[in-house]
Amino acid sequence: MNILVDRPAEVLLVEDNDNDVFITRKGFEEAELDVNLHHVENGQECMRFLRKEGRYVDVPTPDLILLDLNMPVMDGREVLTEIVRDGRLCELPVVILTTSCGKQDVHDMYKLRCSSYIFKPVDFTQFQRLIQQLTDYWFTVVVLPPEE
Amino acid sequence: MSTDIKNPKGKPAPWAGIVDLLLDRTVVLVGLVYILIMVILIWRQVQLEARLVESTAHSEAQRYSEALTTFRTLYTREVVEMLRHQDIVVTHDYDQEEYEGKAIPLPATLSMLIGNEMAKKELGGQTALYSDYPFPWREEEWKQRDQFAKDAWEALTENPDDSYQRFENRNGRRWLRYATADRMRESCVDCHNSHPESPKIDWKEGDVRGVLEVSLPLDIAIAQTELNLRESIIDTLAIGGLGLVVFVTVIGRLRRVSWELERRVDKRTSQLASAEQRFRTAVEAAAAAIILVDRKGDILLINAEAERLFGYSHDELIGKEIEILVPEALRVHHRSLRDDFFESPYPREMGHGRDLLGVCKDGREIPIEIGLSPITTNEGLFVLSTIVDLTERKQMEDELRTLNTALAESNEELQQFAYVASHDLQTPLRSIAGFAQFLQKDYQGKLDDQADDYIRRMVGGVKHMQTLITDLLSYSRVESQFASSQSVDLKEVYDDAVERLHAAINDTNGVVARDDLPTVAGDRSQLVQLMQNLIGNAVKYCGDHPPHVHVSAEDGGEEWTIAVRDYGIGIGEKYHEQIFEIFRRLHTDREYPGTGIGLAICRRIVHRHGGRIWLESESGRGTTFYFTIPKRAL
Repeated sequence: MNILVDRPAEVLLVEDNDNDVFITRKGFEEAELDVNLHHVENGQECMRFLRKEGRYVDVPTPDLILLDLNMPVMDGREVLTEIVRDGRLCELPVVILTTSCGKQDVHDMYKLRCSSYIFKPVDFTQFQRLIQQLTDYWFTVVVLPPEE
Repeated sequence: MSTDIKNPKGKPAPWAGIVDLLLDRTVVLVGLVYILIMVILIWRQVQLEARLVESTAHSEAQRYSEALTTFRTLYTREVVEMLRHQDIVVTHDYDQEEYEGKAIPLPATLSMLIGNEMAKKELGGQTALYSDYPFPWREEEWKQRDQFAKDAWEALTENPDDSYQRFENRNGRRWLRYATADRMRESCVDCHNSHPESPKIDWKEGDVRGVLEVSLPLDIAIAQTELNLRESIIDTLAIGGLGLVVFVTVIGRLRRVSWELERRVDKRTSQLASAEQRFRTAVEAAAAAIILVDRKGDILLINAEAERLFGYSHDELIGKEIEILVPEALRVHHRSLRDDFFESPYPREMGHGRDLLGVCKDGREIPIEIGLSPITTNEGLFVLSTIVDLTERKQMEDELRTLNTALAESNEELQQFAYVASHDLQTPLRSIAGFAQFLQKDYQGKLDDQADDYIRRMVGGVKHMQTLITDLLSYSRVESQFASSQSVDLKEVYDDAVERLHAAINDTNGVVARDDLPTVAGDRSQLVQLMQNLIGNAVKYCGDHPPHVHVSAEDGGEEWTIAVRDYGIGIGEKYHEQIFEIFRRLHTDREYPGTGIGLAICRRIVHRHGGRIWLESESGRGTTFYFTIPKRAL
């Protein structure tokens, strides 16, 4: 069952590294998924995107957020903390996608009720497989919060 | 302590006692007093003997005199009175022929006669009767009377009831002259008043008509007395001498006893002195400061270290209250603590686990630790304080603390570095890997073969780099991510490791087996990694034939020894030690790909668990890796 049959899935990638953005975007493209991938380059932009502030007035509310941890200006930890606190945003699924495999980070993020914690593989083939699994899971297996 | 230890060995010569005796002032004094008493006794005896002679002579003379008087009175009353009336003449010259035997002597005449008769005997006295009123026939005699007669007459007419006496030397003999008053008696008054030749005719009864003198020689009595006296003195001297001998003997004996006692006391004293000397030497030599304090808190003894520690000289502290060394604010409290200690004295430590301060002479406060021991002596209860200067220890502790802090910081930085490596190094690596793969995928066959080869090598290098980073992270995390020690079943550890190596084992058709394995205390995930690395190596370096790995355990009493045995290519003996070093590889990457970190991680994990790791191997015949895990909880 795909709840998104009538529209493409909206995914927000929060990532500061251009190369990673490129690789991720390429991963999604090559997986040939019906996904609109939006990108912001730090936590602050992410919050403005989610709150539809400034130039983000017309953006859709993402179905899934892929959040990197280490970013300038406002990092992933702060973003997740703020999303959880915000009554209108706290339902959004947030998947941590990072190169950090520090135990402490994993513990901290789950304590903040992140939806999943995923370690970015170096190998692109593996990464592509991961993106496939990720989208399959989130957009076909899981029931997402219903739209208002 | 006695200074008289001239002859500490053997007994003194016998004469030494006497010489000592003579040298002893007390003994000499007592001896002199004794001799003085003896002299006084003898002198008293002589005196008494002399007085005895005189008093004996006196009473003899008295009796003599009384006898004469009594006889005369009797004669007068019983003879003269009766015969007077029978025409018998009573006259002084009764023996004249004219009386034809019909005359008797006058009483006084008879008295004189008797006296003269008695005087003829050696011991006899002489008698004399004389008066101021002499009958004519005796006038001449009266005129020639001597001084004693005059004095006696004078004294006795004055006091007729007394007697008058005097000792005189006459003709080389000593005499007692004893005179009494001759009173006119009733029976005599008539005669005397009627006698034709009477010089006085108005006699009344009781008048002193004359003096009766008895002279007794004393020389014989004196001689006898001297004889007695001599014997008596000899007796006295004998007793005195005997007393002196007893005195000397007893004193000598006492001296010997006291000498013996003194000798023992000296010996004991010298023993005590050497014991004290030893005690002092030990105290002086002690590396810790030692202070002996009495119940009042006064310092009795300190050693050199105490002087050095507190900066006082010996004399500045002896007799002072111990609180001189206590910080001023604590002095009052310290006194009560000190009293408490004497109430229940048992050895204890002060300042254990907290900072105790002592005050030096210059006011400097130093950290110290104090041990207190009660000492019971015959002078009372003392407390021996052993004081250890903690200044150096404190400094070392501080230094250690600083170093520990630095180490912790360094570890923290290392952690930070590891984290940076995990994230920041992998991010660009992912880019290189990603784009290399894009090239590989998108441009395969579009460039020439060499370009394809370059791209393949680049991807291979990136993957190797990726493994290196992952292994390095594992290595650095052995220390930092050691979970609290828990009970870990090595059978489960084995299973997990084999599960992770499933692909490699399958690919090589390997056989991995185990014996029974124990449960140990440790970090589960690290032990899994240890087991995985060792079994993985065994599978990897199997040589030409399929790997055969066997895991077993041996109970070594206090620890378990785990063995991982393979029949692979083996390891040359010279590499047995260095193989555990990080990045140490024995093969090229083409032969056996790897990072050279696996065994270094193993060693780190084993050390972290308090065990040892080593190997036994023969090149080409297989290798056995051993590691131990202590049974005690970590």
